[in-house]
Amino acid sequence: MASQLKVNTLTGVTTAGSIVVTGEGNSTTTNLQQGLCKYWCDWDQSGTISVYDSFNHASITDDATSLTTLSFTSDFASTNYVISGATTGVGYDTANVGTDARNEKLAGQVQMRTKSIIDNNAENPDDVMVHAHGDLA
Amino acid sequence: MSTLNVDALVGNTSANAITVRGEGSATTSLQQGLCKAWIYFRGTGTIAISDSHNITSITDNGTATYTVTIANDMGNATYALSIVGDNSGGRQNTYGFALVYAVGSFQIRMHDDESTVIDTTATGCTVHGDLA
Repeated sequence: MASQLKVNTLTGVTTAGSIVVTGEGNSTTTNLQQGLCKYWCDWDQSGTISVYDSFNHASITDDATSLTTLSFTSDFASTNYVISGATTGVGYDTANVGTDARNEKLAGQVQMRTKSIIDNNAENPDDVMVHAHGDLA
Repeated sequence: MSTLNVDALVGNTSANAITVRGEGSATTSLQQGLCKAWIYFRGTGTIAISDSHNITSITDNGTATYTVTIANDMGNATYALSIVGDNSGGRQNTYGFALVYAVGSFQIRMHDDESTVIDTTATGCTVHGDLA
């Protein structure tokens, strides 16, 4: 019978923010905290902007066509986190999402830009999805 | 509220398999759900890693082309790699694609929104898949 551990919180003993996990191949390990996705958001950018679902998400702001600011509940430790994602197309066009200017990327929020990959026009897709990996504060 | 203080998690039945109850009624795999490597680096001038997880080094292979070396190798080359660049060189969005997948490294090339190769001031990559 498989063993079952019921627990609400995991904390490292040697270092509170560091727990090692055995990898799939049994030959290496990985780090639990470093491997967790720290933020994700799925939102509708067409019309009145609204969030479908999210994790560690505080607020969303419609800055302008194609520009959206996402704010985190728990901040990152620095701006050196990775945030990437995808979008649905707009009409017959295909859009993508990326970070905007570096000065718009902060530990507690980031501005994202959605554009057509066909003609570079600003787009407001009805489904934009991003996730972020990095170190929490 | 219970708190488990522990340095390492190892599956009981199989060392490499720990199940976690999901937000609803289903379960998921702890190991399969973890991001196995990520990197955020500067790709202009002298390239440099700003922050990373399970990454050994990065190599500049010429304009817009970089090789990222993974510390603990993946179990196979069929992992999921995502790549994102910031706005560089006056372009608003930059994109990346994979040139080479290997268990211990991957090579990427960045281009701007006019399909011109470009050294990006900031590039992020995430790797999901099976560790060796």
